[in-house]
Amino acid sequence: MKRHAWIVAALGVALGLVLMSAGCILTSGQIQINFDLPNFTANNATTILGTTIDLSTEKEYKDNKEKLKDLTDLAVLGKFTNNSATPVNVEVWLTPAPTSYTTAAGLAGDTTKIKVWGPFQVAGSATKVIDWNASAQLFTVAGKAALLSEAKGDGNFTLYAVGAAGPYNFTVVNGVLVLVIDVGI
Amino acid sequence: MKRVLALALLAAVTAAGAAQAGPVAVSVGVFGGLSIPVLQDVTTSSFSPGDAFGATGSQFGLRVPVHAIPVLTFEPYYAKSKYKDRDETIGGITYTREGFDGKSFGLNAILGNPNGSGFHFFPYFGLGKTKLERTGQEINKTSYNFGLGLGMSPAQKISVQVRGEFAMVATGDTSRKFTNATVGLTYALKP
Repeated sequence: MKRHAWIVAALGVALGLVLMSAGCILTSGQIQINFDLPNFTANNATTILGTTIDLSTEKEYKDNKEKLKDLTDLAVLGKFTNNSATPVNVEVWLTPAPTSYTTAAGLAGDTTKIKVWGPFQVAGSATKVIDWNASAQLFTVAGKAALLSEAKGDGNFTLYAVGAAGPYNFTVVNGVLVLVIDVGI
Repeated sequence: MKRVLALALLAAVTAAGAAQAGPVAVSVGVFGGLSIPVLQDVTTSSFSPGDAFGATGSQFGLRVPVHAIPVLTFEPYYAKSKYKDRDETIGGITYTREGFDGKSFGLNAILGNPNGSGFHFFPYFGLGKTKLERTGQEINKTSYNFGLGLGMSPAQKISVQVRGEFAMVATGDTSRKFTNATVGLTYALKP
């Protein structure tokens, strides 16, 4: 009987150690933050428009920044309209510092830019609402790392949606950047 | 380090128990029930306590309890789970995010014998590996679970078990957490 009691006690200690080693993984969660993006049109022949994001203006980010551990899920959502008759492959690029390029050439010359997302194809003269699941697949490894770095850093960066190649002219409305962050609570 | 210590201690307990082993009882069982995500993909700005629990998913699987040493039953298990898609309206457009598909295997340590006669409670904890997948996201990490079961034996060699447990998949410094409620049916192969 004493041996049984010893086994039970040892198991209790083992469970306690496992839970202690679990630490804050017990008290953690995944918090979703949605950043509304302004409606814009990108045209390689005339202008592109960047959206500077300051994460610190979002209450959910501010409340959880110190506890942020990782980005677990990402998506670019919105309604994409191709104003041109030829298909367009939309990509999203990030500059780690806030920038205000208004031409595709200006963005192309920035050596710090990182491709975050895409390509998302929209047929000629068509409008397409992107599927959340499809969007989640389009993030690049470097893009995820850059967004995580920004989320853990100053949280101030600029996103540009441009065509992958050739002439393009498209409009995005109701755009949203969705970030799901892993936080220790 | 603490995890290694805990596992070493568990191994020592097992070895000590094996030294005084009696007849080995082996059973096989199936189970199924509900699995609910906890604190996953929540929005804190409009958070209410009910939001802590995600849409109810399902779980089913196979268990093989082996009672070879006094006091303890070791139970390898395999489980599959499926979580519901989530609809959310953002910017006036309704989007759907796919729920996870999960696969787990591992080992539970059960205090007592879940297949014993009469009504009886049995606490347990387990260690395993869980893979959670959905489009654009894959988590394949160590998982932990602990819970309490209620066993009853309606006929010889047959045992019915109801279990409630808390499970978590460790993702670095954080985790994906679930609460599970299952019903299982076990058949004693030996003795």
